[in-house]
Amino acid sequence: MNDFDKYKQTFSRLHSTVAINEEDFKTMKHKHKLSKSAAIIAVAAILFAGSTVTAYATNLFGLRDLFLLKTESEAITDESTGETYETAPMTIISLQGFPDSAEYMAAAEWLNFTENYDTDGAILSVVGNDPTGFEEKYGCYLVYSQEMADKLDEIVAKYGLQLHSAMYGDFQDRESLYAQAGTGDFLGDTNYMQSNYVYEDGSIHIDGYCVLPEGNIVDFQFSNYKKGSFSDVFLNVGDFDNYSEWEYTTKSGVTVSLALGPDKGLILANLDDSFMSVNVLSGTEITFLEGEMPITSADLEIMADSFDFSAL
Amino acid sequence: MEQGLFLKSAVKYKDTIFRIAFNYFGNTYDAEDALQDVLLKLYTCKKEFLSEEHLRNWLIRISINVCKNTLRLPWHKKRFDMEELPETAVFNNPEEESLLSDVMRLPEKYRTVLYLYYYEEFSVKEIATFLKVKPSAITTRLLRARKLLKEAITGDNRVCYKEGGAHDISPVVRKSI
Repeated sequence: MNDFDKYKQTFSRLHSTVAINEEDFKTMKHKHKLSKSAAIIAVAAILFAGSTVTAYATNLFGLRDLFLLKTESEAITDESTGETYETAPMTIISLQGFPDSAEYMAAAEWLNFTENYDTDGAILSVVGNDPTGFEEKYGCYLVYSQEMADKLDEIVAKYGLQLHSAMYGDFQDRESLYAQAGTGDFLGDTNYMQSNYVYEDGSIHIDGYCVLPEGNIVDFQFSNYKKGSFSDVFLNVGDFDNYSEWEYTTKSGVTVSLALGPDKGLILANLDDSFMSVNVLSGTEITFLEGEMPITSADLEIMADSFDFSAL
Repeated sequence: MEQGLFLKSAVKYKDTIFRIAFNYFGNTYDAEDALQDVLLKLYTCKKEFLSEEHLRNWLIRISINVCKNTLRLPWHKKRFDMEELPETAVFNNPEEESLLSDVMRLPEKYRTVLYLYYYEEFSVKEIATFLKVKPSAITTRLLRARKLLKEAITGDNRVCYKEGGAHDISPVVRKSI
């Protein structure tokens, strides 16, 4: 028996113990959204518990303008295993707009509230994954108590914003997505979708990848949030000092802000009726994740050119 | 996806998905979580698969994405523990268990390439497409993986290759964007 056969034989011994029951998946389909959200907030609560949150000076026309929150690194003990590990410091930015916008201010206020709400996860653990009764009105947000619902209502009323009421996902072709979002062809010839969703107001999120001229493939997360709606999506960018930033006018004539750091890049544009961001999941260094080629500032400009942001 | 086809496909490919995830995570718990995620995506998928190969490749690609996305989460910790092998893993001889242990001590980027190449029998070019890297990078990884594995099997230097503890990049917080 050669090595090839030995390898195959060994791995053939591995079997999943998961039983396939269609009813389970039917139930999971309905619960998926809440449980996913619950998991995220639970871990976010762990990450932020006891963390030092500091204010951060902003400057003009740069990544720092979007700054919302910074946390310091700290040691966390996983109670289930007893293991201690260090959390990475986080610098969270808004993907809704700049500080003078209602969308930014609302997002900042909501983040500040959630930061200090149910920090030990006690309320969430009682709610679990059962229906909360808040799904109908707040289904697009992480709301699992009346207090959260009241706070969200207060914030959107204060800033004159609307809550998202519906989202449509998994468009299999770009034309269907464009039709739902009311845009032109903004993806161009070298960007491809892997998953996507569109809100009722035309706000878009796409997980996809861009094929660069030399064949390298770069993952990205594209977001375009319409002004006038409340969004609670934020992004951790790590340390601002690790980024180089510059302005760039794309081939489609849209001026964007570009930022390139060790493990990610950003393309940002404050458009007339929306705020657009492309979170490029590669940076100037190879990260621990396999398959992520480093990119240069020229690559980031090529990516910016590959979209037609004027079609949004 | 239509019910009958889902059940048939899920049963047929669940071990493939599980093994890919096991190579990524090195433990049953996370691998079965990923399997559930992938099967849920299949269940809710509206895509029409043109052939069995199309379905298989789609599932493998989705499995890789699910695993990579999970590994990107800042709180996720990689771990491998032979005691966490599935209860269903029954080895015919100690060499098999030892080989699995040696493979799982390799860095994750080598394990996945080895699995896709040796077990699923994809070409270097196909693996490059799945993992979104250049074919030359796959060839390099295969060479290094074989070398490391050979050293582990024949030598007494059973190194546990460090892959890092808690990850230090966190592309997404609060809500998945």
